[in-house]
Amino acid sequence: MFKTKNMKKIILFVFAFIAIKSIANNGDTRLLAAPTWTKVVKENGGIFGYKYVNQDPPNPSGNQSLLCATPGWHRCRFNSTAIVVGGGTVGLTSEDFEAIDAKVMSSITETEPSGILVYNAYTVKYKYNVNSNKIKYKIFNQDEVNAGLSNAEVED
Amino acid sequence: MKKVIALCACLLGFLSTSAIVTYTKSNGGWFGYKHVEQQTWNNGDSHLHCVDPGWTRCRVTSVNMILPSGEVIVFDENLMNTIDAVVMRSVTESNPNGNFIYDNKLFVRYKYNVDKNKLKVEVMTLDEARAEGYNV
Repeated sequence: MFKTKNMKKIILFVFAFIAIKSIANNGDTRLLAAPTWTKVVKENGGIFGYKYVNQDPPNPSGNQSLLCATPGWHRCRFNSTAIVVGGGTVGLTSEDFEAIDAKVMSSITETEPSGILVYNAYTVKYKYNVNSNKIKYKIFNQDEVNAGLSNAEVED
Repeated sequence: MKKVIALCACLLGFLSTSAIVTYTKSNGGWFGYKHVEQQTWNNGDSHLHCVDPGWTRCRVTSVNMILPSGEVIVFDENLMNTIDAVVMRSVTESNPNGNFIYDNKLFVRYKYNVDKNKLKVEVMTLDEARAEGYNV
């Protein structure tokens, strides 16, 4: 009797797990992954590009980052044509990213090297450190903004 | 009258001695430079140095360049920007150094060092380029 009850629980658990994983694989990964941010860091770049361009793919929690550093010849851009923002939701294209990047660059001034801007449904928080010549910005979708993830300062 | 002619000759002589304009952009920042300095020597040569990340634009103070024909070319911010745009398009990973003739009047020589992130551009008359051994 005891064994049968436990067996039922185990079978139910396995079915539930398979069902959730199946839904997640069909697109809605937010069931498994908390929405998080996309981060871009450009540090000490050269006149003609970067030596190191490293794109971390979205991890299970949805984070992804693009890190560009040191003078070189490579452009600082995402490899994929569709950029994943927040919990695996495909939202931004590489054209969107370039538009966001241009908007960030035109927003930074000596008196206001950090700030926040909105691009379509996305909120972008940016910061520039002149001494390290480092630009860092994070892109949040509306879910992430609602979850309060955009409230924290962009760290150095 | 003699004094006026002598004065003009002296002035032309002073102006036409030389005028190689060099500008160097080294370790610049995204939004400008920390140090922007221009040195000009008695012979007319001028060197603009723009160094380290900051907020100041790399802008030249006008320099007169005298062509053998007597024509005066004012090397100002606009001309520098125009030449700089050509340089920026010309520098590549396989060809970081090179030269070109601008407007059939000026010789431009450029060199980029990726490790130092330093771009050096020299602008001179065709005569001065010939004196340096270029067949232009």
